[in-house]
Amino acid sequence: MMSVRRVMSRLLLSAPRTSYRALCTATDTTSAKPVSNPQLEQQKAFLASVVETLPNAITAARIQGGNAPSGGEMVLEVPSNVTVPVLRFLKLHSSSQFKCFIQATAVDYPELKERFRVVYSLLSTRFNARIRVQTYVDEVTPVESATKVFKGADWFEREVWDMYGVFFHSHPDLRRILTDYGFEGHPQRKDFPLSGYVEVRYDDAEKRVVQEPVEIAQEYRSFDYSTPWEVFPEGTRPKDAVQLEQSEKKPE
Amino acid sequence: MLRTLARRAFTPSIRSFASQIREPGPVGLYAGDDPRATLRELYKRTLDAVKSIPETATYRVNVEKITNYRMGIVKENEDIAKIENALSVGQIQEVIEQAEDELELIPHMVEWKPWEMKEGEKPVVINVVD
Repeated sequence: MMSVRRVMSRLLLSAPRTSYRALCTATDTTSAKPVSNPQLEQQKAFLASVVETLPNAITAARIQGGNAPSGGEMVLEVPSNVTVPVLRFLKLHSSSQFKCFIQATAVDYPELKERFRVVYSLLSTRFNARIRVQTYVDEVTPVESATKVFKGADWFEREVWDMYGVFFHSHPDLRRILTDYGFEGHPQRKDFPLSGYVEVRYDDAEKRVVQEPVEIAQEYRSFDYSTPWEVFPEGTRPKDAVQLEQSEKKPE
Repeated sequence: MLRTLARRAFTPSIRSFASQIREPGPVGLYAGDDPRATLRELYKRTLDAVKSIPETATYRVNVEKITNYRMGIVKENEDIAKIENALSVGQIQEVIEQAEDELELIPHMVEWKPWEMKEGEKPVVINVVD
């Protein structure tokens, strides 16, 4: 009857001995040839062909996070008046076939003149590829609704309207989707306070829910915006992001 | 027994396409009686439609390349499985769908003209960003 120790030692002897040191020095650093990522090359080739096919419709094209070994994400930036033609091209053209609509969202950059970045994400199951199409709009510029190309954009555009106030014209039914009926304001804008402007409570005298100005006492919080991590602003903001002009902020 | 006979006589039979559908095939996509003829017709229409785009436009060049390549494969091979393997973009029903989509796209591209660049404007450079 073999003891446990003997069994273990037998197993270890039979297993191939790979020294940890050998694993560490597996790559030969003297002949430092950069390993090309085939997926990244494919993405670059695809973006290049899109830019060549639609030159006047693309204001920027990049691969975000492309230097990571797992590959990056393709991003196309377009002017706000051509979102639907670009989405239609990506969906219907044989070498792109991004037929699956994933989501539409928005981001608020209040320091930009065109503060809302509307983002459409698409997936091509045929070629196993994802792409993002982005536009920048301000509060009053409408964007054409993507519902004529992708039915799935319906509720996502309603959410962007509700949360940011970006209007989608030719949308079949653009109304609020997440906020309360009669709610005023667009909550995901950066200038909308965290606790909002109104709070609701049930009033026994009126026998209904009433809205009152919010009374949550929040003490003054000062934010130190420096982070301990290195910041790479390139790729998330346009290079020539215009600072809000000082004259707009000066009191009359 | 009479009822089953009556049902069989009057229900439309999808099994007339049996030779074109390989199980399991995509639900709801029917290739029709002669998918090769359908494809040839669609590609012919595509090549006609794309003539209204200027010859130098990349879109026209690409569409013509793709369509001619696919049409060549369809013409050469009688066997549908061979066509599907050669093209490797899915089953024949999906190839038909892709041809229909491309045909649908062309009039929009003709109207939109994304290839026209103003004087001095250049297409953007692609950045790989961390």
